[in-house]
Amino acid sequence: MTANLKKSPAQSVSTNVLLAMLIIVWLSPLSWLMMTSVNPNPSGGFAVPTSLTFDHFLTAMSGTSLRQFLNSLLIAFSAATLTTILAALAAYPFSRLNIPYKNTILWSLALLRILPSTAIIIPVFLTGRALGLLNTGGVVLVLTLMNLPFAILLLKNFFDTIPPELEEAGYMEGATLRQGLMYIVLPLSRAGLAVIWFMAFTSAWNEFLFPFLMLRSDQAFPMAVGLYAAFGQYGATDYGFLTAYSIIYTAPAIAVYFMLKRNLTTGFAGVGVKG
Amino acid sequence: MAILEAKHLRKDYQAVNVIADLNLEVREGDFTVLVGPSGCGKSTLLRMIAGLEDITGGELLIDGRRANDLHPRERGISMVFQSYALYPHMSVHDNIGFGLKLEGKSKQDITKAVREVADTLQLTDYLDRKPSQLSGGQRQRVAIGRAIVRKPRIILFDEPLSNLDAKLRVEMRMELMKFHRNHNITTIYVTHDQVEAITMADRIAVLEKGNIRQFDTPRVLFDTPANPFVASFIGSPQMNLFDVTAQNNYVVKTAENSEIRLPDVSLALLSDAKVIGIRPEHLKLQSEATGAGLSAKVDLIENLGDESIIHLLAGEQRITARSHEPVDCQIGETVFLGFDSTRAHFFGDQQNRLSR
Repeated sequence: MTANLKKSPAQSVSTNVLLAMLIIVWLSPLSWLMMTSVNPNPSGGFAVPTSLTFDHFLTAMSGTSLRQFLNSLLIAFSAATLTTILAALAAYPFSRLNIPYKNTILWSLALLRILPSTAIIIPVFLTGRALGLLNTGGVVLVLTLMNLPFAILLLKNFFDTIPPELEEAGYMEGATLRQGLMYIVLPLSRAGLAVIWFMAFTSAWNEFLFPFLMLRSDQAFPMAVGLYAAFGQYGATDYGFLTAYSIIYTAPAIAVYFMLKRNLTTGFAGVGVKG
Repeated sequence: MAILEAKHLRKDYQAVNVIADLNLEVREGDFTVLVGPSGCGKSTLLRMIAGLEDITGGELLIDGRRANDLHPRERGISMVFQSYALYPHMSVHDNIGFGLKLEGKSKQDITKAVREVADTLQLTDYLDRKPSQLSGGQRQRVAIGRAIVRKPRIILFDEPLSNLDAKLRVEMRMELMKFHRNHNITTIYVTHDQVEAITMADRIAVLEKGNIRQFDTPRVLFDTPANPFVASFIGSPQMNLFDVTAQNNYVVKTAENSEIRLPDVSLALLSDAKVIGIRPEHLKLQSEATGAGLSAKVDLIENLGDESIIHLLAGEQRITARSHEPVDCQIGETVFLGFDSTRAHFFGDQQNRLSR
């Protein structure tokens, strides 16, 4: 029986060759990016570098591009933190109180978020201009608002898994609402809060449209907009700089992905308090 | 001396009345059990005493002081929850010491108090563990430790054994009884299990639909139940209750048209009796129809080894008898169920107990 399932050597070689070709096709943009970023004389074509250099990375990590990297960090970090705090404060009453039409409210928030964000750029821009928020603070606010509906929905479901008896036990021992949140609910929600933070961070880090719309100078741009603006900025396209810049741009997203992956399993499974 | 008094206590959830007018007096040091079927308001009453539910009307006095609007901490009450509600992210030490931490006690004071409690509950070796690393019994002890560390006047238990399997439940029950004997803290314990109530309580309050139907010692509840509800609730298998109307010649007729003979009961009692109750263990299968008793058809026999439970039918009415002797009858056979009429319970038209 099992002998029939064994492959001949010719078969497994051809399978491996096929798979290798597939990998090359899949990875070619990424390998082009890698090879170009360390090539001292990048041409824009697909070429294996004859010598290695990290100068492009040094250039990408200095001057305006460094500034843009820091802008991205600032925007993503602030939006993620603000989203997490506001979502936690909003989701807790949604989970614990008997609010009329609770689910309708929650799902209509989510519906608003499902609408394409491009559809609201004009009101967002006009509002931003009227309120004097066409700056980094404004971008953080808009990205926070965009992230909040799903964050509230997810956190509400997460809080639902924490038995109210735990808070009642705390209340019996003299805990105020704030102490109950600080010592019982939030520590038990660490995984859920982490998931929300990472998701908001990634989404803000990746965001192009709203920073592009609301920021006016390359000193204020985050990396997503900076990368776009750097195309052909100095007459000829500097491929070495652009590829190094792109790789740096992807790095935090990849790091966050791995951190998220670790938390995602516990994050959505709830607390799992055993009786 | 009464440490806790409920006077005309009332609880409404919006338009729904759960407890109408409840009075209760708990004596210091007593193990008081609130027992009743689900939905009878026992847990609501406990939560009102705890301070987890607002009191709609009436007065709750603790140590003679009005406690209606006091925070749970100020009532000198602590509570052990059904699930124990241990904080899963804290160690045993932090679980027990949490209340003291909230009071702003110093680290040394907390550690000292926690160690003292842990010693009495044999938890010293587990202080660094998380609740998930403990057995069911250890978790219960941690929950108790958390309840006693602030030296409360009263401990409340909300069905703490109902999540456990049968074997563990018996063990935990014994632990709780020992704990109460050693510490003598006033305890109010809620359960729906009458066996738990009878075995553990000094006094039992039987609740039905938000009213206390009887509040007394287990012995009194068992021997002289005040009404048919208590009669049927206390005791297992439950008491046989017959709706009856008096006939002549010391015979009463049941709602199912069978006759119960009661030759040595006064005619006055028989004419007042609306419900007659007889416990299964007081019914005896007789070959001859002599003395008090009734005829019934054997429906099913459960042999439990040391005893047999015999299910019979008198008309449509189910009757249960319990025998410690070998049962000599066939299914389908009509037998005479005799009983000592002094063991029978008589209730009048107001559900009141009639004295003989």
